[in-house]
Parts: sequence; structure tokens; C-alpha cells
Amino acid sequence: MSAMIDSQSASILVIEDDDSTAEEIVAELTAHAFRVDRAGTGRAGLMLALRGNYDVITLDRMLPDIDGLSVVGDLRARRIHTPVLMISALSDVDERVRGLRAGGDDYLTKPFASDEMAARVEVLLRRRAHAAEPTRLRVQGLQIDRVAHSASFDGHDLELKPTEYQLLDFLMRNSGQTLTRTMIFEHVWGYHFDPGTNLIEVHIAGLRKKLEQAGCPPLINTVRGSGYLFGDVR
Amino acid sequence: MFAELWRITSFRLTVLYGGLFALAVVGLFALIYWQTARYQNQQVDQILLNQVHVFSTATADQLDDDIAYEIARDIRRIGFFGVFAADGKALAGNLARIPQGLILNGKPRALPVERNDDLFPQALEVRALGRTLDDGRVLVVARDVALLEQIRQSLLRGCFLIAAVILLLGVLGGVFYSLPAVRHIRDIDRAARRIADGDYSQRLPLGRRNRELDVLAQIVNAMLDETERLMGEVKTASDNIAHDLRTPLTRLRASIYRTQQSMDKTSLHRDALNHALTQTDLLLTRFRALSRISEIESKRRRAGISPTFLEPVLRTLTELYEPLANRGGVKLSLRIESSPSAVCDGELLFEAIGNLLDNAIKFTPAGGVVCVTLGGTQAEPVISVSDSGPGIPPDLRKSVLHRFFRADDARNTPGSGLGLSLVDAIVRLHGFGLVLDDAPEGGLRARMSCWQRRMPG
Ligand SMILES: Nc1ncnc2c1ncn2[C@@H]1O[C@H](COP(=O)(O)OP(=O)(O)O)[C@@H](O)[C@H]1O
Ligand SMILES: [Mg+2]
Repeated sequence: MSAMIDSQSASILVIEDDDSTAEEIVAELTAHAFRVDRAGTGRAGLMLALRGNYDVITLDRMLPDIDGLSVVGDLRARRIHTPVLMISALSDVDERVRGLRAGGDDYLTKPFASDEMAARVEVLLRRRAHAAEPTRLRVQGLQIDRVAHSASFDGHDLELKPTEYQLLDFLMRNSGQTLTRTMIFEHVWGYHFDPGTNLIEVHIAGLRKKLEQAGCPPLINTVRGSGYLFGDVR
Repeated sequence: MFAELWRITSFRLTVLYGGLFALAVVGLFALIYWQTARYQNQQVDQILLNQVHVFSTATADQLDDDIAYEIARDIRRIGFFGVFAADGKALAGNLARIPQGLILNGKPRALPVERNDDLFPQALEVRALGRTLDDGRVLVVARDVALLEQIRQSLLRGCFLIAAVILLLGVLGGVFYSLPAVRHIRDIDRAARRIADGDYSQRLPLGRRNRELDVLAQIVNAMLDETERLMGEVKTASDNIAHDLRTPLTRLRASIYRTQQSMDKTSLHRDALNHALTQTDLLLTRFRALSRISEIESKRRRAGISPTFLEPVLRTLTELYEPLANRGGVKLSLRIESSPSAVCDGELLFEAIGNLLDNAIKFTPAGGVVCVTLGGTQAEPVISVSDSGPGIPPDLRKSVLHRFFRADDARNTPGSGLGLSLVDAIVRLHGFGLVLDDAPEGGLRARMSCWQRRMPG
């Protein structure tokens, strides 16, 4: 499984009323060595979220007592900025917008692949860890300047198109983590639909080629059936 | 317009009745005329017979006097009298000669005569009667029937006038009664065309006057209600199946994935599992696409819809699809003819054009071209995606919008036949238009008119 750098000790709150879904989430996150607490209602979830110092919250959109949207709204109103992954059976585009507007940080529709759910949680964790975003990232001589939006290898500038830069940036920021095609599409292009198998693949292939031509070792790995992972896995 | 009116039964009937009525009037007038003429002729003939009878009993000298007296007495100058010698020489009276064709048998008949005084008219049509007197002279008595002629003329005039009025009223009445029917039929025609185009929410309009049409329209509407309900049921059922199957499929995928992950890298089963994973993903993708289409189709809220500049959207799209095109050896270009904006959900529009691009690139063989064009006016923007591929034959251009439909020669390219259905759903949601036709490049051209051309739905 993906290398986890600073998330071993992370604690996650799962607010979910459906037992089987909750079990699935808890099992997957526990497998990733997170500490996991579960709340079955919005009220209980809110109480836990206010007291405990969680790193990420997964929040069901439809809860029996308080609506998921109100839960995030409440948290944000109390200046609690724990990243929230909204999980909902409503996949409507408007629903996503609404969830994000209410203060959610990411949105996942049911049914979901648990590895994708875990990947999204990790991205949220990573974001929290890098709260003070570094302006430079460096992996094995490959460096990106997040202010100038430029990349270089061993001091030589790489000629990247804007989207290629965005892609590399997203991969490097989340190095060591599996990123699904959908997540890449959402973050780099900002659209939320299934981009199809090939579309992201050709972009990755293009980026790989450019890195390779500059003499960079292969750092973008394919995770069969899942997505891509940046980092040296040898 | 007239041809259309003529198709309406009520119009034809009204005009037909008008015509028949006019004919009856003409017939009636003819009968009146005929009867009047007969009666008058009988009257005149009786007078003539009496006169001849009186004259023939008079002596020769008396006769001339009697005739002169009669002529003087006849202030209306409708009587004619003549006494002629056996050789036809006029001896007395006001006739110039023995009328031609007069048979001297004492029976009245219609004849033209000529008068010998200088009164007007000189020649005229009369009833005349002639006989040979005992002394061999010929007596002719005639009487003008001008009155009859006058009656005939006024009857004729009246007859034509009334017939014309009746006919006119018939046509006007027909138009008056039939115009609403014509309009109603036009409305029905329009609605029926939309229904035939697949818009099952349309209903045939009901008129105010035409009971028979309304009864039919109501029956058809009831049928449409039922069809729509059934179609909705089938769709809901398939959507529900797609939706319900997604959860177990996702679980299935999760366990395959976990097994694959926990497996030794060198295990021989790894390939088989990878294959299983790919297939499951394919299935999931299809179910997701199906749910998404039905979600968009049933979407009533339009929160994401706002004025959107199309040029940046298309630039991002071409950039997104360019590597894919390059890999397929296809040249992808963007042509900006104008830079309008459209009122739309930018994200959905992106997805729709993305699907069109995906098809164009997928079906165009290496060495071909795909061109995205943004044109039209600010009020009526048009986005088109054209390619140099095989195109779609005209008879299939409607079917390809249906779910799962793929042309036979598309079997070898990957895909599920849901792409264009999604595009169609998005186009409908916005009330936009989508036309598939021939591209100047030789393949398919998909033209999306991005302004509201009909009520969304
Ligand atoms: N650009 C095109 N050129 C030729 N045929 C096309 C094109 N776009 C669509 N088609 C035909 O329409 C069918 C339906 O398209 P779509 O719904 O996108 O399904 P898919 O792409 O999965 O085959 C395709 O299978 C193909 O037969
Ligand atoms: Mg397609």
C-alpha cells in the first residue's frame, strides 16, 4: 500500500448513520493505520468534532437528525477548520457545489470505491500538514517552484505547459499517495465527471516523457486498477 | 390556405350545401318563369282567339273600320292587326307583311313581326295568329308579349343575385366554421410532429368548436399519458437497476482490489485479477454513466446555469484532448469565428463537448483531422465538432442518441454507446439544439446551438 509519511498518528472522525457503509469506511481507514472514531448521528458527530482534535472528518450528507450540510456549517461557524470529506448518495452536480459551499473540502458520491475514499482522506490530511504551503518542492533533483509555476531537473528548466505543471504540482504535493484519475481530473482541470480511462493516461504519459527527456528517473508510477503514485518506490 | 380549407369536411359540406341551395333557387325561379310564361301565353292566346272570332264575323267593310278602331283604342300599342290580299299585299292594319312562318290555321304561336307605322321598335317578338277569311283575304292578329319578357328578365336577375348571395354566404359560412378547425388541425399537426420527434410530454391541443376532433385528440392524449407512464416506468426500472447494482458492484470491486493488493507481485493469478478489475471498472463506468444520464434528464433545478464565456471552455477542452488526438495521429484544431457567451451550466457543457471530441478522435483514423469551431452570434452561439472520419449515415443519426446504440462498424472501438445519450440529455436540459450532419472535412459534424430554442426538459 502507499507509503504514509506523517499520517500514522492521524485520527479520523466518521459521521455516518448507515452501518454497513460505516463499517466499510472504518475498515478501510483502520487498514491505513489511522485512528478512527465513529458517530451515528449528526448531533453525536458534532459533539465529537467539537471536543476531539481530529485531522479529518468524513461526513454523510444525509443524517437522521441534523443534515450533513448543517453539521459542516456549524463547525465552520465555530471556527473549526478540520478538513471535511462529504459523502453523499446525491451525485447531482448542484449537490456537490452545495456541499463545498457549506464548507466541505471534498465530495464523494455513494457508492464509492473504498481505496478512492482513503486516497481522498489522505489528500486532505496532506493538505492540513502543509497548511503553510512550501513554495518549493523537491524530489530527487526534480524541483518545482510553486510561486513561479516552473519546474526544473538538476538545475535545468523544464518546458512545461500550464496543465503539465499543474499535474506535476498535484502529484508532487501528494507524493507517496495513490491518486485516482478522477481526483487528478478534479484537481488539475477542476471538472467533476468521469474523464474516461485514456484521457488522463495520455497526459501522464506526456509528462513522463518530458521528465524522462530531461534525464529524470521514473517517478510517476501507475497503480494498477487505481491510479498514479508519485515517488521513488524502489 | 384554400387547399387546406378544402381538406376540412365542414368547409366542403358548407360549400356543397350552398351550391345545392343556389341550384334549387335557380330551379325554382325557372319553374316560376315557366309557369308565368305559360299562363300569360294562355291569356294572350285567349285574347287573340276572341279578337279573331269577333273580326271574322264582321263584313268586309266593317272589318277595316273595326281594325282601325282597335288600333286607335290600343294605347299601349301592344296589338297588331293586318288584313292582306291573297297575294300578301297589305290592305289594312299596322303590320308591314304577313309574318314569316305563320301558318294560317287559326292557332296562336310565337313569331317575329314587322310593323308599318313608324313606332318603335319596328320588329318584335309577339304571339300571332292568322287565318284565311271567307273572301280569300288573310287576317293576322298579334299581341306583344313584352310584359313576359320583362318578367323573365327580372326573374333572371333576381335568380342570379340570390344564387350568388347564397353561394357567397355558403363559402363565407364555410370559412367561418372551418377556420378554427384549420387552426386546430395545424396545432395538432405541430404537436404530433414534436411527439414523433420523441417529446412525449407534448399533448394534442383541444379546440373549442370541433367536437369530433376533440374526442380523437382526447383518445390520443390518453394513449400518450399511458405511453409516457410506461416509458417512465421502464426507464425508472432500468435506472433503479443501474443504481442498485452499483453498490454490490463497488463492493465486488473492493474485494478484488484488496485481493490484488495483498497478492504476491509474482503470483500467476495477478493478471487474471487485474483483468477482473478492469472489467468491473468498465461495468461500473457504464452504470455510473447510466445513472448520470437519468440524473441529468430528471434534473429540474438549474442552479449551475449562468452566462459562460465559451472560448475559454473550448480552449481548455482542446488542450485536454490534444494529447489523445496526437496519440491517435489525428490533428486537433480550434477555430474561433466569434467569441460569444452562452447561458449554460459550464461544467455540463464541458462534459458534452468533451464527449463529442472523444467520439471524433476515437472514430477518425490516423492522419485525419478534428476541428472544433466556435461561431454564431452573441445571441445564437454555435459550437461544432467536425471530423474526417467515417461519419454517421443519415438514417442512424437519430438512433445514435439512444442509450447503448452503437453503429455496427463501431464494434471494434471501445465504448458503451452512452456518450451521445449524455450529450443529448445535456442539450435537452438546456433547451439547446443538436444537429448531426456531414462535415466539410468528410466525416461527422455535430453542431450544438447554444441558445434556448425550446423549453428545457
Ligand atoms: N464522430 C463520429 N464518427 C462516426 N461515428 C460516430 C461518431 N460519433 C458517434 N458515432 C457513432 O455513434 C455511436 C454512439 O456514440 P456514443 O454514444 O458516443 O457511444 P460510443 O462512443 O461509446 O460508441 C458510436 O458507436 C458510433 O457508431
Ligand atoms: Mg462516445
